[in-house]
Amino acid sequence: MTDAAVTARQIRQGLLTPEEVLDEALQRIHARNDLNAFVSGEGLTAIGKNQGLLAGVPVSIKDNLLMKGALCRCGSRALEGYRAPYTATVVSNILAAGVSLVGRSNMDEFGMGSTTESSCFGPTLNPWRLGHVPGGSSGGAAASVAAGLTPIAIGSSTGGSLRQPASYCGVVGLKPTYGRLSRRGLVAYASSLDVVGPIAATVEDCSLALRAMMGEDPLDSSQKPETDLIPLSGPVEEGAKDLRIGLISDALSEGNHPDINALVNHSAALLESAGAFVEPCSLPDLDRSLAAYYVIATAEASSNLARIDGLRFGPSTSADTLDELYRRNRSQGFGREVKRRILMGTFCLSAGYAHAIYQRALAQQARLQQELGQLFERYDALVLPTTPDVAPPLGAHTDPHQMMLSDIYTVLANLAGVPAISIPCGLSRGLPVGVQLMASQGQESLLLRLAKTLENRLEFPRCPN
Amino acid sequence: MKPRIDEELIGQLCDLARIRINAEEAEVLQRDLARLVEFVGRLEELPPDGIVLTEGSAARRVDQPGDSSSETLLDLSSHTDGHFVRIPPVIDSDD
Repeated sequence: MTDAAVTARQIRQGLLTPEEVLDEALQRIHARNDLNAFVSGEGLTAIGKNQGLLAGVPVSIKDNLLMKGALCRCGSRALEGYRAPYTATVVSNILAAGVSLVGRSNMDEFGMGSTTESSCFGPTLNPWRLGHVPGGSSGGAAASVAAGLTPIAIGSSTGGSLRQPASYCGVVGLKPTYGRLSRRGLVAYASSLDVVGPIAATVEDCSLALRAMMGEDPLDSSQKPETDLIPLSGPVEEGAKDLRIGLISDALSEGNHPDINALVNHSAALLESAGAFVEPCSLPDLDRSLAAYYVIATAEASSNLARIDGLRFGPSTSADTLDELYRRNRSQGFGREVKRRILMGTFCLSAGYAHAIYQRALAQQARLQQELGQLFERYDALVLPTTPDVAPPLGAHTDPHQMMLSDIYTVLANLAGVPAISIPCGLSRGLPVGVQLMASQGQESLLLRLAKTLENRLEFPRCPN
Repeated sequence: MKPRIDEELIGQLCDLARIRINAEEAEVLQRDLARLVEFVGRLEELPPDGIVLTEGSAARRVDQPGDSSSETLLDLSSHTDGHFVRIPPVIDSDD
């Protein structure tokens, strides 16, 4: 598969047509049905244009992004038959940039999971090793890019759903600053943490996708004015000279597989060799941040998903009372993980516990933002692992606590609203490992620059197909 | 405060969330919740100062599970019109 930047250039020059490129992409997708990277049912395709930043580039969208008139399931039985009444702003923006849409990528039900095993469409497989998970919740997006089906996939992240699957699949995943991109038309999981973002085969393609999705949206009040953010333009330049990089030593714990720590240290050394000043730094609140994340995310999920009752969305049964109807529809529609998180969130917001748990989680979030702010006064960017280990085998995460721990290094950026990127930095036991770079709000261009610097020095192999 | 995660609490939460689970799921959930609560218990080491829940509080009343009578809903709504809840339009008809 050719990179998006090259494909778009060739289409703009008239060397290829969007129809040819889309047809090839659909053939590749059909040939790799075994991955289950795309949701089944009605196809979602749109032929792109021969002009624009991403002219004719085949792109998929996650199953939680709306497209007017098209089915949107969020990987859930609860949204069976639901058709979107409007198009997500980011989807409108990438269509305006010329992309061809190839379909909807598989995901954990309502984004709740780290393995893409909780989808009602069945699990997505990791193209590096089919018996392993691709990560989640944007697992279909990461697997499709890793397998070379599309150069770019649009996903979303609430606690690591772009970086973690990108790490497990050996591709690039960027979680933008909260408010950089419009959330209008993204089905909400935890609104104060949710962001849309790209997964791509290269840093350059990730940058192109981000730029194509950008644009002020008066219909999203959580979006930051573009004047408050560092602008992004042109190709990504590499370079780390004189930049100050903090290597978070608390994240290089004994709980990680030793290969992870070695590869992250190696990446930091490569940045140093490129002219950066790298030194260890400390962020001792990692564990508590994960706890805070699970309280805030589940609390918001229990509230956001209260609307899924079978009346306005999804299939409905019959019952003698309205209350019983809600119970039946919700009980039959939601899968086990979603029910678990809704009940956990309900607990966190219950009178008597809201103060003890929810309010303290907010305090921890504020404290983390303060600590990270202090670190960003000393450093331009931070380096840490994306995950403690490589992709586990399918079915290995039966314990929700274990699954939670795989998010320990990614929830930070969501809680603090800062941008972070995961890029592949090596292999461990034949599976990809990601290194994560994090910067202060609005500093995506700095992250992309550092990521490009590493990408050029690491020469990470593409997934063998 | 360490809450007691028992069948009664699980039943109460299911009522509040309008979700029904079977006995096997309830048993697993009880175990999961206990572990999660133990894990998030680390937050109790922190003083909750400086953060105030919004007016009207996100906290739900557990003493009235499933109370969805018209009077209660109207009473909880900020904008009403007679016996109706007034909700501003969110989608234009031509969108």
